[in-house]
Amino acid sequence: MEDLPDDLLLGVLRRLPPISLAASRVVCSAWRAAVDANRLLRADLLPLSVAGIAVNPLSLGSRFLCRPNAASTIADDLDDICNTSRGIFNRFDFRVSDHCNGLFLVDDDVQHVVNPVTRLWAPLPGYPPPHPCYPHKLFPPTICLVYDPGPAPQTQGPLPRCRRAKGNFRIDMCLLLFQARITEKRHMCPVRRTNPDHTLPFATNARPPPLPTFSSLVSSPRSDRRRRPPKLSIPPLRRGHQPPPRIQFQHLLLLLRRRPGDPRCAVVSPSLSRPSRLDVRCGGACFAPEDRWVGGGMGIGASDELLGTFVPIAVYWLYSGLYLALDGVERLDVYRLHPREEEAAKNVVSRGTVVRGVLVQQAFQVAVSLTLFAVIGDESGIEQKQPSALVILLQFAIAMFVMDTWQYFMHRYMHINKFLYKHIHSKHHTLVVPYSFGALYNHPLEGLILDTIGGALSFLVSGMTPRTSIFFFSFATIKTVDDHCGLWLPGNILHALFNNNSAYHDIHHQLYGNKYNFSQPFFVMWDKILGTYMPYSIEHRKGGGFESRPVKLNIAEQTKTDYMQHSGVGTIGEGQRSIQHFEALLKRRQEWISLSNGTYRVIQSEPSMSLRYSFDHLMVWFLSESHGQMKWVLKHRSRIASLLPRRTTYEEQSGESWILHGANYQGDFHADADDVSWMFNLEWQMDSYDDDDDHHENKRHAKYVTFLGFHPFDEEVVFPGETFRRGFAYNLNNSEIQDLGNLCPKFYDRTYHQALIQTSFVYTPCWLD
Amino acid sequence: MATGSGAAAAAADAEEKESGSRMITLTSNEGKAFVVTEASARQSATIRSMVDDGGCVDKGFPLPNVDSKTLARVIQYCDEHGNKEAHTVDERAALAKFDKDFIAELDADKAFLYDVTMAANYLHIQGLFALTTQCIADTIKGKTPEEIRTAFGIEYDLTAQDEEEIKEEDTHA
Repeated sequence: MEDLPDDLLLGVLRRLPPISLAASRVVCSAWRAAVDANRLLRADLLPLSVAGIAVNPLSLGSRFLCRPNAASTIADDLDDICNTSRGIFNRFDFRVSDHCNGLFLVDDDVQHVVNPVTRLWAPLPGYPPPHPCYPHKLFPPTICLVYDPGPAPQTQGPLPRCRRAKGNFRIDMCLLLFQARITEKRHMCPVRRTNPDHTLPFATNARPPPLPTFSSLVSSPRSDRRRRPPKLSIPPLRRGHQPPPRIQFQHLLLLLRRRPGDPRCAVVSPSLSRPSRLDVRCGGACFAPEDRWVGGGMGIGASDELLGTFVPIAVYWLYSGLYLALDGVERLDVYRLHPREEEAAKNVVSRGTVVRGVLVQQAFQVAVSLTLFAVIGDESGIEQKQPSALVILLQFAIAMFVMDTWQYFMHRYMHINKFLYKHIHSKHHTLVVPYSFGALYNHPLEGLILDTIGGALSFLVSGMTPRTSIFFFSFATIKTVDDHCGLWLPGNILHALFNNNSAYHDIHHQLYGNKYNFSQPFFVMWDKILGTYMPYSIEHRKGGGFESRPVKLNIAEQTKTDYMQHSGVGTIGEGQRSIQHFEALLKRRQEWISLSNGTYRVIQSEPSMSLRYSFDHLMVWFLSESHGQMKWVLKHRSRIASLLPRRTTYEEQSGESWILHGANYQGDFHADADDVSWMFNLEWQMDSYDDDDDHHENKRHAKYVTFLGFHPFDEEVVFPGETFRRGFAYNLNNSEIQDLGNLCPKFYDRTYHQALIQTSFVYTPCWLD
Repeated sequence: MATGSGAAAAAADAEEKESGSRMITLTSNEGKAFVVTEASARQSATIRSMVDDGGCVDKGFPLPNVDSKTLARVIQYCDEHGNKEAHTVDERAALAKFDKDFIAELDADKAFLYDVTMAANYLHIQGLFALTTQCIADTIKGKTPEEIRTAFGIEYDLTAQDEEEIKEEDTHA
């Protein structure tokens, strides 16, 4: 063997994984020279390269944008693994839901962690026991794959300290999934170790080796220490000026994120202060203490039933009193929905009459409620235990629904039935210009039918305790008063939360809106469902103040809104973390934070007039650390939309570009990979289609720029995409743009050409054999 | 014909339908002649290019670097892969099984394995070369440098300077 010809030796060495190459390199000088001269320690198989981008198009399985030859290591293998492992993966549905250093979290009925290079996969061990208030069925935990790049467990406690961080990114559970040390022969392939005769299948149709169980992937540091084989050395990669890879310890943390706001959540925070030689840094996570909501007593010597009757009345007068006080402030006139004079002109009854009417109404109501409590009340004297917060929330929701439903139909019937309207409900409509304490100015019978029976029904159906009902009825009262307040105050949270608000209800009190907007007090769903919905628009009235006007609903507007609500899903991926919480949603802004190479970057998109997913300006912030201070520094800003090339130039480049592969294309996807003619056809069709359109309106073709991810190892490079047409690599420094390839999946025809990429992950293969 | 004459004959019948069907003679360094079908010989990129160039088909190909024993084994592989179809799953499975048995047999005799590997390299038979190098690579896998030296009978010849370098890299990595 000593006198093996060089090309033969090379042929052998080429087939070795990095770990064995490293060993071979110190065997003898000839081998060492062979490895060095040919750069066999392939950098592209260490987690330092980008092999492709996994994109998740809306309502399709994952696609891989990668070089044609790289497909065999990603899509092909994933496809193989998913098909041969078991029948669970529905080929069409299988999606990559997260990625971290060469490992994919594959989502299906069961979640798996897959390494396409080593062809190993392991199912997740299941979730930790849920918090009693947040069962998994209702609040399925979000699972992310991230690294804990902290020092090896031998030198430090198992989990780094946790620090509270601002923001909505919360994590409530982490598991040490596996740790990898490149310099050690490792536990990635337990099967091969126990069965030395087993060779890697090199024939393409050979089955992958039997797969390890999750527990064999999860390594316990202690037991690992005993079994650690002799240390091998791995040489640094000398690739131009680049520093050698220092990916030494990689603890993979599995983070389960529950919905934002879960009191039990812990927080992942950047631990930037920790000195680290590692290329990958993010932070640690740990458990937050289990703080539960503890229901406290009211501390007042009255039964909940009594309180449930009287507190809402007190709330009514207090809240409307507050509005009455505001009414006196002339400065607030600019927020009035009707001018001050209009009240006297349009309302037929005086304020005194209204107060008397309300008091009578309430007295009647008290009598009924007390009777009700006396009938159904628990006589044992034992207080009903408050259920968990979740149950209470559910009861609230049910109660709101029941009350809404009851009131909508009764209210609407009172409008339709001429007799009822004339003798009962018209009393309430004497207030054309509603004011706060006129909210309950009703005929006593209407109060009984609408409010009392409605309240009793929601109380009984939801099964809430009397104590909960205090809060519920008070809330309903506040809502009702608020709907009649006649003011459009900025910052009123009820206006923001509910579509059914003072402006909405004001429409109903006007003559033109009399047959619309029956819904009260919470939601507008029944109006929408039954076609009595008349949306309002707040407009500035001449002479100051606002005016609530009905608008004709623009369907496009509605879809956009729905779409925005739909797409506000935050994802966390390796190398990119897109935080799209509620606030960002409102501001139409997206942010990504890169967890790779120790820098934190945020991309913000300025609001653009087009789709929410799109942006015109690319802004990249870096988190710079100096003198112990962390500061966001704007590193790059450009009008990316105008920089991306016109589509007409794509055709020339598509020969070299990456190709979109689907691990789960229906039928033979090899045909897709080899035959790119459909791509050309598609491009051509698109071009001709666009050219026609360009004549009509140039502006419409403002590109929908989306963001695919950061380059994990080169901080100058980001991957923008023109939504569902092309993916690009963009150099922040010199604004150089490289066309990567077509992003449009085969099944998306051009009617979908505004279709979406929901999430994307920059794939960095990792071959640790 | 050293091996598989029946199979080769059957293949030859099939090949006769094609106009370019010929038999080709390969000569080992010991002067022994092997007659193979063209399809079989075309497994070798070296021979394929010579045949395509329209060269000395009739005179046969002398292979001065390959001995008879090795050539016989190489032709066995070429016959299997050149004359058989691999379109259906079953056919591919049969070929894979052949490869597995073939390499298992070779693996027993390392010196012969290297000879076959070198012949495959010289004749540019891609499939065979991949098969044999993978087999060698598998023996390297998972071994320490010392174990590799023992397995391959290599003498340790790294200089002090090399060792210094390795040490430095070790602390780096």
